[in-house]
Amino acid sequence: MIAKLAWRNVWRNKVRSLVVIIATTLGISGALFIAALISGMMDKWVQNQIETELSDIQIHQEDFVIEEDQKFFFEKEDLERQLTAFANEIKEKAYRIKAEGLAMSAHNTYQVILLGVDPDQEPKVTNISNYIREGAYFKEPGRIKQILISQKLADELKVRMNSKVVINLSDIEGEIVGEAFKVVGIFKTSSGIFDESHVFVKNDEFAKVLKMKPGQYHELAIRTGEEVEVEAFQTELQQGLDADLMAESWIQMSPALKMTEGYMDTFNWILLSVVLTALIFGIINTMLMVVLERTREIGMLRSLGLNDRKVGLMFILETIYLSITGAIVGNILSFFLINYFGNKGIHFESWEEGFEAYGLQAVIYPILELNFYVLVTLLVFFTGLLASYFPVRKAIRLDISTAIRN
Amino acid sequence: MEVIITKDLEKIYNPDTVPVHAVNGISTSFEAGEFTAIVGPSGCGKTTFLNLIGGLEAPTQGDISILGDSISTKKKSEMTDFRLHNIGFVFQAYNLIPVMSAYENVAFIMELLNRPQAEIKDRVMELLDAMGVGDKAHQRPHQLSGGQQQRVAVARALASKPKFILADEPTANLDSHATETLLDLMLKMNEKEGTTIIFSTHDIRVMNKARRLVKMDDGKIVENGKPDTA
Ligand SMILES: Nc1ncnc2c1ncn2[C@@H]1O[C@H](COP(=O)(O)OP(=O)(O)OP(=O)(O)O)[C@@H](O)[C@H]1O
Ligand SMILES: [Mg+2]
Repeated sequence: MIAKLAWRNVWRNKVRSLVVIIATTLGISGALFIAALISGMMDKWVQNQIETELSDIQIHQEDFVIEEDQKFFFEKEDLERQLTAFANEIKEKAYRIKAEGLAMSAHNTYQVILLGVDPDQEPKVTNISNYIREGAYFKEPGRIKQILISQKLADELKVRMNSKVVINLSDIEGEIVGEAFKVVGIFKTSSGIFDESHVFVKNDEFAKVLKMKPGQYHELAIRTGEEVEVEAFQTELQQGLDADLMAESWIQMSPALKMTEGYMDTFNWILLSVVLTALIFGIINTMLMVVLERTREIGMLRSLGLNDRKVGLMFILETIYLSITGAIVGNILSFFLINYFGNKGIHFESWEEGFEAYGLQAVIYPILELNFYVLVTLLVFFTGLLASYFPVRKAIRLDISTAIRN
Repeated sequence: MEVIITKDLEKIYNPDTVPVHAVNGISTSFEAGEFTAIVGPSGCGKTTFLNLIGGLEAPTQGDISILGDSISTKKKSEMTDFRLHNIGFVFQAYNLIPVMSAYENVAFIMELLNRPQAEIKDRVMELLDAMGVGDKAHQRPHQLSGGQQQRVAVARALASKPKFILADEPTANLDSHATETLLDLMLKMNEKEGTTIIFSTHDIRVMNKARRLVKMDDGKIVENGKPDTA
């Protein structure tokens, strides 16, 4: 009965209540949508880095991880033996040779990371082959060694398809070597940072430059099956490896990725707190006005024998109804918006360059976990509860005789 | 049997600044089944007196006992509960909960008392019919005339079968016809249900309907008796 009374009271001043409810709806759906946009962006970003560069798990010589010196390689044969136990979890794998060097053209010099890949195996693990703009993802072996560089690096070095690029680096014996490569493909991923610093060569050709023997590699990139929990698998895998080998998950290889995700989470909560804080003040203000307007009626109800608990409950419920209604509408609205754009994607065409400089894609698919909606609704509920404190206190403290003489 | 007894009842407003002796030593009593009017010039203390015996304000001095129970010592929450069970109120205006129908307004008190729905339904319709507003049961207060609203308010005051009803100028906002109707109905219910009714008024015609007249002036009772003799 008190609940019914409170609900009807919400609709006594329709315009005022609607203003509060619409403001809440907009605030909540705005916050949810932005949160979904950010998590869509983050998911995509992480996914991109996993797919173009990191893969799920990598294995290196322990010393290679620390010193990044090309002399710390492992033997494929050894590793394969150790990996037989994990055949179920490992979906695809690709061996790589990896070294830092200088890429030089007649015009410019750039420090780059060279990845020697297997043109057949690598595309199963990472997707650089999808980003080839010109040329091909390597060709039949020829007289001169082949290299893939990014559009960005090609511009910096002022080279084109079929141009020669000289790579200077030290081999496994520590001697400086220079080798000419022909540009056979030009790629462009969504990450400017990645593009500027990575070039790809064939690992058999690269091994010769570094004086490594066939079957010797620096890196094994692994994609796990869908159902595999990467971090748990990494721990398991590490235990199955020889002591000098080190398995790292993408989270360990790129803590910044995980951290940025964390920052974005924090940002979402801050955004939500701002909305809720605005909400709480709006609601307190409205409800104090309500109590003031209904002074006489509160006096009347209390004369009749409505006790403090019931008067309190009435205003608590009215406050909660007022806030939760907008939250529920806001949840529904943002749920549909997020799903709609989650399928269709939002195109930030005019900001494409800015996005790509940070390795982000200009098409974002907003996504939000269902928990978040529930949590936000609960938060609004508690916000309403908190906001009801002042109006309830005011209503209970009213002096009955003054209220009814009013 | 005496329902209400007051002894040297005093209410002083603003005792520290500009003291107002709104009620200035009233010792009287009200019998069960009385139909009493409290009259007197504006500001003589009628409302204050009614509020005191209804437990809406606390006296500065003196004692009120209701059904042999002193209410001056009751806590706020006890007093609220006491009012719910024993006292019906009718005010001059804004008696009804605007978002509830006539029926719901009358049922409200009985629901607070957790009476069974079937009993509530019978009692509410019986009272609304008796007060001549049975056909308005599902109208909201703003759809009723002032007189009809007051009749619903009286029905509500009677709903829980209280020991007495206090009505502070229930007819002040009504025209003479509505005033007469309301008074006649109140008198009828007083006789039918045996409920003690005490009301205040300015109106001579209303006073004449009373069975007992208490005249006040300056916070005191100046005359006390039958309307014709007073
Ligand atoms: N809260 C208050 N503070 C100070 N003085 C008050 C207060 N309430 C009432 N009074 C004073 O107490 C006196 C009695 O007031 P009360 O309302 O009881 O008179 P009344 O007989 O009901 O008058 P009316 O016929 O105009 O309703 C008046 O002088 C009034 O000004
Ligand atoms: Mg008065």
